[in-house]
Amino acid sequence: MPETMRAPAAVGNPPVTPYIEVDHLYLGYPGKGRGEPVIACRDLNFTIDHGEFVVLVGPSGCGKTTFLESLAGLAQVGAGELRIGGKPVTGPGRDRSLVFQSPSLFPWRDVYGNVIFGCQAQGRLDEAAKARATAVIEMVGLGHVARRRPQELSGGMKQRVNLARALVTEPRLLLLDEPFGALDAQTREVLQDELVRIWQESAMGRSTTAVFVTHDVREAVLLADRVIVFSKPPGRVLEDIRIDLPRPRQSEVRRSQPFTQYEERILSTLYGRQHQIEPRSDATAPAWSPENKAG
Amino acid sequence: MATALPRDDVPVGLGATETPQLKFASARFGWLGNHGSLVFGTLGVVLLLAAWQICAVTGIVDVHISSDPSQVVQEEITLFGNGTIWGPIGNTAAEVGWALVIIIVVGIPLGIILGRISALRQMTDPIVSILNSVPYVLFLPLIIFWFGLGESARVLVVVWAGILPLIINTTAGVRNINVDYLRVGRVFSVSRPRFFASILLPAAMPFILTGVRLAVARALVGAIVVEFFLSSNGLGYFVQNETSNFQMSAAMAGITVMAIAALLLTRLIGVVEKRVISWSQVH
Repeated sequence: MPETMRAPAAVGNPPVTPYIEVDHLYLGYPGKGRGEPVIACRDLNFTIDHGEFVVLVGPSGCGKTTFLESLAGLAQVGAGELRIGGKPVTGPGRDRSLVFQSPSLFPWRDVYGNVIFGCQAQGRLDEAAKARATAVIEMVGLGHVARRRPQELSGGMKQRVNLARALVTEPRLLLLDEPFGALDAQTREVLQDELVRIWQESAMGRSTTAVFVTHDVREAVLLADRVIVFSKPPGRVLEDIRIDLPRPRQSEVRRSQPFTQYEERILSTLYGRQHQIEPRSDATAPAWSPENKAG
Repeated sequence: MATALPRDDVPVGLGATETPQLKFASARFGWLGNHGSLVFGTLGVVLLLAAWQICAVTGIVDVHISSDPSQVVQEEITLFGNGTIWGPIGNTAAEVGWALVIIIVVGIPLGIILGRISALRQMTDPIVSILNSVPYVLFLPLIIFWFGLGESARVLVVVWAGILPLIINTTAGVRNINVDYLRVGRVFSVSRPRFFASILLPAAMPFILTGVRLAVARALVGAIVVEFFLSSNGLGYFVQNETSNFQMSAAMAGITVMAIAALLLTRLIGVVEKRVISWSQVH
């Protein structure tokens, strides 16, 4: 399926090529029975650099989660190419970890046990990993409940564990699938601030690339170096916006004027300024036809 | 590394005061509310035995046919005193013990395999449900014909009696595994052996232990039935023999031993469940 015709990066040259390359990518699912395949994303073209924090926003069903799953190696590539570090994605890998939409914790393991699961699964649970787990649990503010079981925790705490589990494996690519979507507004803001803090404080922000999916525009602006706006399904890229809010960012950045301007701009891209939703997307979109059958 | 956050579970409010002595009544019956099942359960048994004793003493039922609790206790003392009951107990225990070992060692892996390989499950589904719904007693004459009257034939019947609920439950447990767990495993590239040990087995454990519970109950019944039919020892044979010799107290004593053994086994599984699957909300 993948065409391995890409020239390898020149030896001795630090990674000039982008970390993630999305090239005429089509994603979707096989149809039920003899039905047509369902297309989730069509003709995605963009790249993501090392160390970027990229947020994908879009209406529900626009295929942003499917795109994230394809990066995680959980969803199949229908057509086009998806490369991480120059290599086509063929499945899950140790270089990536995912923060799930629902906490997805194992109820038979305590917080610590859940957090070390990733390293354990990959057979590299050494003393360093254990120390890292303890430190990360402390970092997400759960040191006092490390020996509790998930069912004793609140929704926000469970998502902290979910995040900690993904961080402990020291991924090069951190994928986050609407991790705060199901939380109440207050908890969501607290966790957003914390993710910003963790990203900026720890060494992670420099060695890790993050792709975060959400439908919350304010969340996107707060977290992102770059926001990629997806269209209504099947998802295409409507706009690619660099967020030049200075780092380190604090919670208060939400009330600054540039923040609001970014928010307005993304909202108008998503919904059209005068409710002109259709013309805008039709103007740039080529008529959808035969390529989907190729996948 | 980063600094720890302030704990968000300890609110600091305006005009915070020291917490007053909190009094929450735990249940309507206080202590009894917590130990009710044990207290009332015992009470129920005591009442039944008392009623039996009264009926026997007042002549409502014939003591020679029904025996009574005091005679059963005396008989029990005699039987354990001269050791005649140990033989039958040992025989039945050996049968049930071997059968349970086989049931668990064969049943759980078989259930897991059927749960994971859908072609195999679809192939065996009708067979498993037929075997589970047709009374195994029906096959006893055939088993005697094929395997004779020996120890192995008896163990085979007990296995037959007990293994199906364990297979069926294990399969259901494996099939009902939360999709989220599978996704976590895939994302973190869990190896196959570790997937079985760290995800599949613990996730299916509540179902498996329910299966074991059912299997134990059915195996005990199976052991007694098989001793009625094709044995010259064991508790089943002992009770049958004493009854046909009109020794009601001895027969009742045998039944009592069996009842206590069943109770202990069930309790044992309860303890295992509490330890192993305390996370499950079944409790």
